[in-house]
Amino acid sequence: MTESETPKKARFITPPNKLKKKVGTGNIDPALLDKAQAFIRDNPVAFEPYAMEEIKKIETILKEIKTTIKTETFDGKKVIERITSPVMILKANGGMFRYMMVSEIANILLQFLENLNDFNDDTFKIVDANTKTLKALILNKISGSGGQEGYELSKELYGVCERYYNKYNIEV
Amino acid sequence: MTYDFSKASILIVEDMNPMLTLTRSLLGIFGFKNIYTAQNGERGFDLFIEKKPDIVLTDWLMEPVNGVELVHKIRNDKRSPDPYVPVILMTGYSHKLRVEEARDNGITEFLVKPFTAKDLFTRISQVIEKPRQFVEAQNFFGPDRRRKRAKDYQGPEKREEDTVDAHRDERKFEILQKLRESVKKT
Repeated sequence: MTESETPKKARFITPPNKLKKKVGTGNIDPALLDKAQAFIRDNPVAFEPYAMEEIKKIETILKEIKTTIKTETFDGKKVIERITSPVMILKANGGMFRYMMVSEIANILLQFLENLNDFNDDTFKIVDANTKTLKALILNKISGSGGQEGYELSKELYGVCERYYNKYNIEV
Repeated sequence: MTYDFSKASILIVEDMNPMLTLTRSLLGIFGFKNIYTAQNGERGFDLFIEKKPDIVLTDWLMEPVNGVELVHKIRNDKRSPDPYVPVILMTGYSHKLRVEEARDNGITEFLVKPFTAKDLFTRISQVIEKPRQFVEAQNFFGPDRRRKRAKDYQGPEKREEDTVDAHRDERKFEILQKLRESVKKT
């Protein structure tokens, strides 16, 4: 190895903490945290149109691949990548706008997609079932967590993924 | 004693307008007075150069420049006025590989969406109280990646904040039951 090929030794730098100098020491008034949390809870933004936009993206991809999934040129990894983005957006934003259950179910689907290496007929059925569930929640404006019944529904969806992992020997 | 955020400045980069407004309002409630906003990484970087904020809070998925690319620019671009600025990445991703990808591009903290007001404050407090040491190596410049990872989002915890209990509403209850029955057949 020549000198020019020798890896550069890592240098550690401790930048000055300018931020602390500006804001001082302490915490936050708990009343402000409560006020901020109440602001999230009472935010009047209608999330449904944003959610439907993302759900439509997933539906379009599913419709597209319905006929190509069995062809040789079908690229499962690419499909997973395309579906993952709208699912992540639903997971991220649902709970910010009172749709905790949308976040929960989108999270189940997101975790499922991130554990996959291929997209087959069974994958299609699972993504389709989750998407239909998400759509029904939005169309019926089922905000909140869904209580006990919502929990049971999430459990069923987790169960479907578990069965898939077992069938295809996927370690998660 | 409480923090005085009025003298600090923060840049929010987020493409979903209601989320941008929500985050801005939360920071306003915390006491921030100097809040700058942009709707994509490209505009965010321009604003970063112009305003030199003390903290950057950015979303991940945006076009034409996403949040991770923005951080890479903040850390490595010659025009960057402060490559050491703390950057908090807000995202729905929580998978190990995604977190590592973000860290490899120079993220300081990871804020998993959906988040509570407390989660947001905790991340801000973390960059104040526990600033990361920076590493300059052959292929990396950014905060030391060896600190423990942010905890993954745990859905059920969010139930504590629930505002609508579906089992008290017959119609919603029935819909959820039907959905569960159809999932069983999958």
